[in-house]
Amino acid sequence: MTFFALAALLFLVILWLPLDGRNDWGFYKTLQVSNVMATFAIFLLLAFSLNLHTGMTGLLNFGVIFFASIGAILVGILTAPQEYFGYGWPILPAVLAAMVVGAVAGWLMAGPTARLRSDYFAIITISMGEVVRLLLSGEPLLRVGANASAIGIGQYPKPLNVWWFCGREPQLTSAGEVMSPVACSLDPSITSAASIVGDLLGFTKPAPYMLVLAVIGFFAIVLTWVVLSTLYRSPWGRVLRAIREDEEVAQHHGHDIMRHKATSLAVGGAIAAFAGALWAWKLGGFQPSFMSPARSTFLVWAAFIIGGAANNRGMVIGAMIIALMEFFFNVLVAAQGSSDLPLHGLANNIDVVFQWMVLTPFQPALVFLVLAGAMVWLRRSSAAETFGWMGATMLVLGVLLGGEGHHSITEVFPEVLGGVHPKMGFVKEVLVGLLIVFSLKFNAKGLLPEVPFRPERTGASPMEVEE
Amino acid sequence: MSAVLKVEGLRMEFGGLVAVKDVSFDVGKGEMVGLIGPNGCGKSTTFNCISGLLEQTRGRVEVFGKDASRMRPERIQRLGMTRTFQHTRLWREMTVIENLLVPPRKQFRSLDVLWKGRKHAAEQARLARAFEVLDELEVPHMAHNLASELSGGQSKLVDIGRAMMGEPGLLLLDEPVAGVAGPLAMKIFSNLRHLVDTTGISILVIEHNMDFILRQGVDRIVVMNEGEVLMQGTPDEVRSNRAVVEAYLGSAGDAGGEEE
Repeated sequence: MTFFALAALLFLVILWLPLDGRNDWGFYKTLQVSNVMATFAIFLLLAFSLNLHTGMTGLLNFGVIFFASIGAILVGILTAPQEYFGYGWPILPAVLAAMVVGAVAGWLMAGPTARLRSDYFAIITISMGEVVRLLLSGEPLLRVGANASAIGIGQYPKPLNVWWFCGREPQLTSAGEVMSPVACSLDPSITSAASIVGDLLGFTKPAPYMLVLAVIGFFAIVLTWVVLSTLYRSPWGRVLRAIREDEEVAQHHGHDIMRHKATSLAVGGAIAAFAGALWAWKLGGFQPSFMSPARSTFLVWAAFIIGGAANNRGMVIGAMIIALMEFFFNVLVAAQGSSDLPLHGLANNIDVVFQWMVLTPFQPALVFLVLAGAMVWLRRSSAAETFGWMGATMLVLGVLLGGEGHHSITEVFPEVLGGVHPKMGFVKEVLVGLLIVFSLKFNAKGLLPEVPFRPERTGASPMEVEE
Repeated sequence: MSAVLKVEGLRMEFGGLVAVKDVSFDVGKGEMVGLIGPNGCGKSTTFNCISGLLEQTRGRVEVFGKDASRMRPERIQRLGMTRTFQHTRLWREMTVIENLLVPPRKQFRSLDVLWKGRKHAAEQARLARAFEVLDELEVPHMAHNLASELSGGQSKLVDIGRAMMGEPGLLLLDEPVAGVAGPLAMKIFSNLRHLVDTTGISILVIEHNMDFILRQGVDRIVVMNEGEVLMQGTPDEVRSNRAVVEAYLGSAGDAGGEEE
């Protein structure tokens, strides 16, 4: 019940997201919503994978991006045409190959790490992700795109892109060359799925490709959901949770924990690899920076912690919150600069609060300490402690910054760049960090905690068995 | 009587510390054997070597006629031997009924259990058996509680029940009633005795409760001291052995002698 209420609420927020008033409102609204939904699908699939590894099996996986990057890189390299240094594979086999490699990577990982304690396993996974990131920025074989020397992977085709804009048959230009999807979308004479959907929804141009990605993501979510919930309800899911609770005891009750851990890592790895492929399609081309943990792994962890470990419904809520936040801050970054964009007012307010905190840090310190005092008086010791720490932090910050005009401020925020302004990327990270901290402190099990399995005694009523 | 468990010349060293020097004994089919000895004499280490948790330095362990000396725990369990731990280790964030549903064998044999889920016949049978076990242990009302919500004594009961769900032919119990109140402890013991008599299961039990060990339950006792077997014999023989009384029993042995 809570789940449906929360999901509906968050979906309404996605629909409500502000949009500047351009003339083709329907088109941009569709683009915006499908963009958020595609991001949501990516993070949700990654959260499903993390939930299987960490929530169910108890393997502390900080390498979500490791499995995802396998999918993104492989799909990019395999499908890019040969003139761009790719292999020119069709998309479907490339995706399957990426998922198989992700699964094999997970399976192989279990071998050397199975006897490690969970914290050492976490270190291994986080370094695996970093290894791939460094390889991507250094290894010439992992460079695909228009310019051979450029770092990163690009110029790979996207699924159904040609069909969406050009139709079943390839469209030829007057010179007899095959038209690109972009060229097709600009040619009003071509009838395709995009133009049909665009007409149906009353747009002046073909429907955006992002809609296709959102739909692919949606089907992937449904399929993964069905597969995972079947597995969780099965005896195998039970054994995974037993391994999470105490693997030694699970072993002493006859379960080959090594094999179960390897299978869990493999299934999760394949899911994450598909999410990576989806991510690659959404980005259109990517640099190693997309793999930085703060922009990938930790966001998935935030979704996992906020949503509720070992509950896939929790993952849905967590991923929705994270996808919304991603989008919201992208809008804010744009709005900070120009006054005619939506959310400019909010960006301004954030600016003002930030200036207040940086230029007169003792004032917020005082506010927090007063609040802490009030909480003591109300006998809310936990809240009092939190506000106390925040006040103390601001006090230290105040001493360090030394007030308005101090060189530590003027050097970081030179007047030529407009003085004191927060970078929204960092504001987002602060917000994600605060969400994790508060979630762990006040709601450690997440919004939707794990639901233990409570089967009824069925022997007495055989009718129920038949249902 | 054929031996279901044979331990020969078991030795376990941790670095320079010799926890178990040289231990040999066996457990016959349908027999209940007590393993006693002062604290730190190597009882639990012996258990850990037998169950595969530790790999012994030297010696041979045979379970149901198969050499289990270097086997992993799950392989040994599948030979038909289940053990419990001294500190009860239930899967805490799982319900009691779920705890009981993990050990049964051949859960992954048929794939159709995946989509039939709880309606699968084998799964139904497991569930019915789990409730039966809870009935026998007289804690059916706790079936839907998390294992972490149980009291110490209830945990011990569920732990034994969980071990029984694996349908072992040999049960190794490490202090099954430590911290359990007197009457309940006695009841657990009489249940175990009943089990041995009716089903032909074998039990090796570590216990400090001398009342039970010396008077009411076990067929045979293995006494350990400082990593070695001090003596083996029936409760009466053990009670009248001077070395055992000095090393471990103290007044418990004497008192028992006087009563008779």
